Amino acid sequence: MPYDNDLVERYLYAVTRRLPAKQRADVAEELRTLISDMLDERCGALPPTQKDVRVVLTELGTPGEMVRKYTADEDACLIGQPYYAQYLFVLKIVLACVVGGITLSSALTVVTGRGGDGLEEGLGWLGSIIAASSFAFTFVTVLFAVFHRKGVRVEVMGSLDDLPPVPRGKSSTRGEAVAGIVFSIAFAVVFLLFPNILNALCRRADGAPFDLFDVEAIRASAWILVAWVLVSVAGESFKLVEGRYTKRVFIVSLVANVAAAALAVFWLANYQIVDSQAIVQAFASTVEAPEGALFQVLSNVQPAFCGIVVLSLAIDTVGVAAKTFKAR
Amino acid sequence: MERDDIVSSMVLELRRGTLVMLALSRLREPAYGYALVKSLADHGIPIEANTLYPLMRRLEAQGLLESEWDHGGSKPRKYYRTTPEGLHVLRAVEEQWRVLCEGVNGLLRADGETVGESCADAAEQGKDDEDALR
Repeated sequence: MPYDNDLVERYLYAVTRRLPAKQRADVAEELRTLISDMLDERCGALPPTQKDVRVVLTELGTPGEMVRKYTADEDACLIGQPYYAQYLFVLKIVLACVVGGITLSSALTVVTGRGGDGLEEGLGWLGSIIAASSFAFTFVTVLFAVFHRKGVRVEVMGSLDDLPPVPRGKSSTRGEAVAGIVFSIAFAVVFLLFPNILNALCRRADGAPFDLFDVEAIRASAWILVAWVLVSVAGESFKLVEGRYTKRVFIVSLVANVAAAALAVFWLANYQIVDSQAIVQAFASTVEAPEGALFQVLSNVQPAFCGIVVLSLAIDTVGVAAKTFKAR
Repeated sequence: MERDDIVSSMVLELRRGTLVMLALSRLREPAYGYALVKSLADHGIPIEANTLYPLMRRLEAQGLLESEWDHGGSKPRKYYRTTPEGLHVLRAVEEQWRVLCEGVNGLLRADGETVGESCADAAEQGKDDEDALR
């Protein structure tokens, strides 16, 4: 059988298509000459047969092996060490929170009788788990891929003088970061997927249920909640990766908290999430109708809540600043 | 892992470590990849083309080799040559290599003598143990 040039070309294509575009033509031409030289050596003056070509290409190695050797020194992975261990850790927390939160909320929905029939709830639960887990997985993976690609160094270890101190007591960021991630995900799961259960828990003094939250307004503003969770998880993951309170952690926390505060203010100023009238009426169903300062607070519960969120974020920022200062 | 496999993987590691030095040294005169594979094999250093070709490309990216295509012959050939920087690196590495060889050989010779003695001791000890068991 004559020399099968097509097999060589297919081999070269299989190798070069997985190499960087600017190297492809050069590598292909160089390997084509190499294969030709190897065939000449094997066959001498005789024309190479298909079997010869197969032997030579087998000797050269599979296209996969060739690609590995050509790219051996490159950082050809999405998330390498030391980020990989942290990535797995964050991924486990996030997925556990998503699955646990959705399952718990679904159970509460069924128990409080706010859901549909069993089959509908079951399918809804499965759908929510798949959709939310896929989204969470994608987000955490992309986040750590960015950390890896941008080379956000986990610790500064350039020289002996740069070695970080051994964390003392509360100077490790791990606990706070994990708590932050868990809280954000739980908050998002309840508000985004099961706003009904918040209302299911509200009862007036006379036992009549009332809707404290406007579910339609929460659904309409879902994108703000998603953005809030993404900002929060990204900030906390950075804290976790860094491992201790540094200037960078403070800056990232500051930026994340300012963004979260802006989103919270925007959310609560533009959407009527809490029904103040319902609260006032609920209080009125007790012994006496609220008056004076209490009435003022109850009527303005949403701005008050907004103030609490901003204040909490401010306290968190000051806390991180203090820990950063102490850790120096 | 079989003993032969362990030995061949150790030999492969040793060879890999010296390959950069050999490539920089052989390519003082321009040569194409397959010619270098053949010349190393002729000196008892068999290196697979799929190891050498990517290596030469990496050395070129590091500025230790330079290359030029020759389209004049029967086949297009890419000739590599060691750059002045590559020669500097080669000199420094070569010096380290000689020191290392001398040290390693000296240690292996000395340990070989001790090992010879301990082997004899161990054989003697084994015989004593067997006697004690009887």
